[in-house]
Amino acid sequence: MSVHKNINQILPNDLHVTKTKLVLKNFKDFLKKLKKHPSALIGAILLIIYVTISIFAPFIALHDPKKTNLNIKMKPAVWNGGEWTYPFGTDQLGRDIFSRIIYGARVSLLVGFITVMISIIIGTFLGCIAGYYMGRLDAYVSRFADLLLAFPFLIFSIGAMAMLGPGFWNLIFALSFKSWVEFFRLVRGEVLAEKTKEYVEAAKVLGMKDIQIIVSEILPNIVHSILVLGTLRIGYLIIMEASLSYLGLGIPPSIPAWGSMIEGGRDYMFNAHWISTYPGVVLVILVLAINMFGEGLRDILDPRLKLE
Amino acid sequence: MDEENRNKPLVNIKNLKKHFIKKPSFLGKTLLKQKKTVLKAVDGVDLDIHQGETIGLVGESGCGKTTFGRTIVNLYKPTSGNITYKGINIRDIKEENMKTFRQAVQIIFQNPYSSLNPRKTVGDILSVPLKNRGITDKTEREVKIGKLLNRVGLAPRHISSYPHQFSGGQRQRIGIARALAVQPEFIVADEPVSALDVSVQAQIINLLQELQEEYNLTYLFIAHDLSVIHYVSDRVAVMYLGKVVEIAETNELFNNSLHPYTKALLSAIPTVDRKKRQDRIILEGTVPTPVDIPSGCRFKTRCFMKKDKICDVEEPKFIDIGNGHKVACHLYR
Amino acid sequence: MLNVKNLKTIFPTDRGIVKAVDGVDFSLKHGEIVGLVGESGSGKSMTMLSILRLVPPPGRVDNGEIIFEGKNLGDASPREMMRIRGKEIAMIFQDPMTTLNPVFKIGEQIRESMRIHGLFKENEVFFRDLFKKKQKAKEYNRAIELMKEVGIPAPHLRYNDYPHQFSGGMQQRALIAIALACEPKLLLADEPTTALDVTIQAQILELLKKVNKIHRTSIILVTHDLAVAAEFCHEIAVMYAGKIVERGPVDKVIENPKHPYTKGLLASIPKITKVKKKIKAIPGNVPDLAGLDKTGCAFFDRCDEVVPRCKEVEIPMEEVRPGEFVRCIHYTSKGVRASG
Repeated sequence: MSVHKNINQILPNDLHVTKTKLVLKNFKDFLKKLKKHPSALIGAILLIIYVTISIFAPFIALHDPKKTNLNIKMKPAVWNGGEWTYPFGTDQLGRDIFSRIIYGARVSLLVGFITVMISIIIGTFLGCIAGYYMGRLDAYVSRFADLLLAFPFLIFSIGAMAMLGPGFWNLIFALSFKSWVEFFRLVRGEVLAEKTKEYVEAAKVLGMKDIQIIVSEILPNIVHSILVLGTLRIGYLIIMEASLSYLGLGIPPSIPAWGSMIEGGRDYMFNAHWISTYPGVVLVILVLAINMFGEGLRDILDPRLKLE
Repeated sequence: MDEENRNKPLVNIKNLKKHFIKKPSFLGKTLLKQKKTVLKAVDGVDLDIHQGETIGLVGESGCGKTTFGRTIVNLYKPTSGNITYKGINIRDIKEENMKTFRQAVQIIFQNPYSSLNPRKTVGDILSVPLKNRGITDKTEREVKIGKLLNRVGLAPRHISSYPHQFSGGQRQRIGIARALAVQPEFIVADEPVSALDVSVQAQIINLLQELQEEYNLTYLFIAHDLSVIHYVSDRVAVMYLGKVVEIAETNELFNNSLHPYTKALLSAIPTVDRKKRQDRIILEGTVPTPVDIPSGCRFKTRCFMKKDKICDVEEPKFIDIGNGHKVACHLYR
Repeated sequence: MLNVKNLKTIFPTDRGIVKAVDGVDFSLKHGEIVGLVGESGSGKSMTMLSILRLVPPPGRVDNGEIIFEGKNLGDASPREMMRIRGKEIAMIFQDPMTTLNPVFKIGEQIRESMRIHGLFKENEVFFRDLFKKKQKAKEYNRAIELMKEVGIPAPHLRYNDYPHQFSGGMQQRALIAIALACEPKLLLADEPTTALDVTIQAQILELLKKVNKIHRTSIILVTHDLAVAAEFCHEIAVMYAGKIVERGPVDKVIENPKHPYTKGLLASIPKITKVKKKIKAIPGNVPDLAGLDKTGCAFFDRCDEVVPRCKEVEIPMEEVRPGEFVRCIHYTSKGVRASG
């Protein structure tokens, strides 16, 4: 009896404290591991800077990104002999490149993030069902996925965008239409591997429903892989967005986007290279940062490295 | 065990078969003329399990003992044959009553590493069965978990630890606690100690036996280690290539084994006791694949007592030679 | 023939230095079989790898002498070690499936070892045997002979099989054939039967016994199964947490164990007797070497004969009777005196 009383006294409070502590501890562990991984840390810092800038774009931008003024067109950047009012210079229509880059970051990050979110939702849902139940649905979805994979991404998106016409949501639709396949394949494979493990069988024997097993037993074990792939795919999708915008098939010209900015400076490459150069440099750094962070994330979160 | 109980087995298994069928793909079928292969993992097992007893099931790897255990707890649907639990055929249990069956029959797994979800705390793992039992109050659940952990030899403070923080033996205790949480009557223990260190093995065996006495549990204890089987079981069934070839009370089987396979198996046990060492029967070859089971007696390819033609032609019947000692061999007709 | 003195192997880790092998002494005569018994993490496999100087980095042999046929392996150059490995000392691993290379024929893998060590290499004139036909023929014959010896049926046919076509027991036989190819003087068998069924285990142990008898090959058998060691070995050494705690002739150790760990281990194995006696488990868990405080006896927290001094003093190996060694405070006169 005394033992039970004892448990009653210590457990509930004790447990809640340790649970919050545990979350904190896990986060601290994560930071600690991040510190040991210099490239991931640099990637993370750069990413935070990009995200902050794009969130606070209206406060950071020096000028209205859409305002044209042909009197000041093609002013050079500061270090090319320009002045501080237009730190990265102005483009062929006299718009401030610095402000346009800042607003362009919003577009790039949003397209990358939203597309990946949509792909994760579709891919994980279908992947779980296909991997867990196998059968006919799996066969159909897998074959459809194979079909989509047979197209090169860029060609596919050019075709889709040519049909849909430029536009923010059109772009996201076109990219998501193919991008979910990666997540589907990943999740399906992981579910196939996970579902044969004994803890899943134990859950079945305890009378858990299939949906419970998928959501609360299997998913927590594969969410890390999804996270890593998601991060890496954001970088890839940002490049896709820029490529399509460069071709005039992505974001409509009225919205500042890096791809269309690079394209805009193409004709002035020899006398005003900064119109194309700076959006390009910013794009490269962002994608590099995402990849560095994603690779680092893989090393840090890999459960195989963590558990044994 | 009184007479009444003996007549009414808790679990009655009749001619249970579990075949895994691999169909060739469409292309394989049309272009390569592949045929479907049938892996006969369990190929006609009859077994009665009585309330409160421990049945030991031995056999070599690939003999179907694990498949058999999983079919009993309804992880696999049997290909044919019947499993009757307390007089009710499992096939007839409707989805809504399945819960009751799930709570009565549990399984303990061999691998203490893959049988616990690495992403869940011990508390989360043990909450699942308690929730299924209808204990919705969180505090009550936590108290129950504390008691369970105490019962299997862990401390209540382990509730918020993750599986990888435990050793193999401790994990196996968590697995036992999980099975125990639904207050089962019948537990299939699938090689519960074979992945553990020798000194820890004995702890788990003792724990299982204490629990059996305390809660009047019935065990189907699957193992390949004969000394463990001898220690825990009341009766022992020997399985070979998907079939039970001999079954008897433990001492009867170990002292008076009839089937040549059982004899060979028993003589192969290494022992620390020099006096007990006997001439070893070294069996030749290995177990044939369950895809291609020999005709006639399935043991004939390795048998050292093979009689005559009948072993090649006719499959021996599983006959009772008295005292519940059953054997499937043409030597004992 | 083999004399290991005060062998220490360490692994630097995040949590400090792990002493996987911590002062192991033993010796082996020609034609003798020694069993190294212990649970997971006791350092028995690491002892074997240390002898062959194959400790995986960042681990390293920190101290100690390994004298094999009068030669200290600690001083041997990597080149000499390569010659010794496989030719003088051969090793058999636990898991034959992963030890055999899946893309080469079994027979070729047996030949490989002979080829590497130049068993049939001939100093002939360059042109006479350009394609080494003679050497190859000799190697082939020897491989067939070996396969016959280890009990692989129809060796001429099986020579061209790939590992996946062999069953577990057959794979282990093939591994033994590879190990025997150069007629080594010492065979290190690391849990050779753990992955196998009892009936197959009996076959393999029988085979190893035969090898020992015919070729007078010394064998060190690493196992967690005291019963296997009891049946197979002449002498056994029981390891716990990187140290040998008891060593002696097999009958003496099994029938009259002295160290509480050996006693506990023996008591925890269920015996097949008519009257079932309750088995006595050793409480607690196998220690994690990383967090282990190495002063005194590592077994003290699981021991039922523990006295306070166990943790205070370094306990030496004591020869209680000729050939019988125990590392326990209850058998140590010096240890008691040193602290008292």
